[in-house]
Amino acid sequence: MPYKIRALPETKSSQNSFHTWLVQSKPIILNGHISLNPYLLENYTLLDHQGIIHYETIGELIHTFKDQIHARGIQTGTYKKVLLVMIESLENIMKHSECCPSGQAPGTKYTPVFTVRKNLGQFIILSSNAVKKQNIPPFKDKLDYLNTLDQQGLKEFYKKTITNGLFTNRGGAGLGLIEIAKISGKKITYEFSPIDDHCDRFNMTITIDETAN
Amino acid sequence: MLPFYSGSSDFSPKAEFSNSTGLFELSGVSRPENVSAFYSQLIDWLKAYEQECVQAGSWPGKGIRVNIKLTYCNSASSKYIFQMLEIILSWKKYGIQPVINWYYDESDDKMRDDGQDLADALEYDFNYLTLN
Repeated sequence: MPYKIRALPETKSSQNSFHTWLVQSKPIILNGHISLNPYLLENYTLLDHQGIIHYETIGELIHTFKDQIHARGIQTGTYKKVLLVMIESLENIMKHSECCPSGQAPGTKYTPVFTVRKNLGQFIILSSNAVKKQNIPPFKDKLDYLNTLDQQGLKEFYKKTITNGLFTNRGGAGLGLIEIAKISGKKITYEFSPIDDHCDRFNMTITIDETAN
Repeated sequence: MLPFYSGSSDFSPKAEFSNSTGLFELSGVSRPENVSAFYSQLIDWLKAYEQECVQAGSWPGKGIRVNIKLTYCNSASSKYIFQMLEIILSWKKYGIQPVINWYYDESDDKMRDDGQDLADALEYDFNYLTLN
């Protein structure tokens, strides 16, 4: 008979360590049966990348993500939303990561981090990379502005930006963050934390609700 | 003038632009490594095609039709597709009424929404069709 794990009572103080334990838990094998805690089936990590993001890296992460779609039972509508937010977030890291000399070993304070997790019916996309302090003010202004807009406001801002004919010197269209905000439908959570005199680490969290189709 | 053809790769779309039939089709996924280089060649081809038609004083009998059959595209690609369509729609000054067919997977609301956002930005009606 498959072994069942009884859900532990959760309190706010125990929640983080409980979730960490669940994520790190392995399938339980008892009397030849494998049983996964239903909690584990609903909460998992799809991608966990640490390292410099190149064009090819994004391709590899897309393939790794796609390979898990059927096994995880992720529906097309949700898959496309997560995929597009992934692509825009990773391209932002690729274009705007700073202070990170090439060849640097993973795990240093400048190394980009990118994860996609599923948790309680939501997909959580976390991107983290070093940015030059001098580039932060206009970037922060844009994020704050996007967070004031509703879906209609985002559509209008998208229209204004796609029609302006401008591209950044790194080939950006200025649409990536707008696209992310439109898809998520939620406020973009972000923070800048100092690394050194020249760079901050930019952490951005995007949440996407799982949909039925 | 030769038709334009570019085969698809993992992350670049297939582009087939026919000067004789006036059918321009883009399909697959669009996240080319160098978005600017990829779409600039299409934009240049369209500008040369316009010149040729104006000089010859004739356009394809069936008119200009654009089929966009993308399963996804990044935001930089969207901006270049907008510029391409803007050029094609500018041919209305020659009495051309281009037809833009936007294809999407039935279960993919996002791709259909992307088409509507582009149509809104261009202030032009697209046809929305599902991919087989």
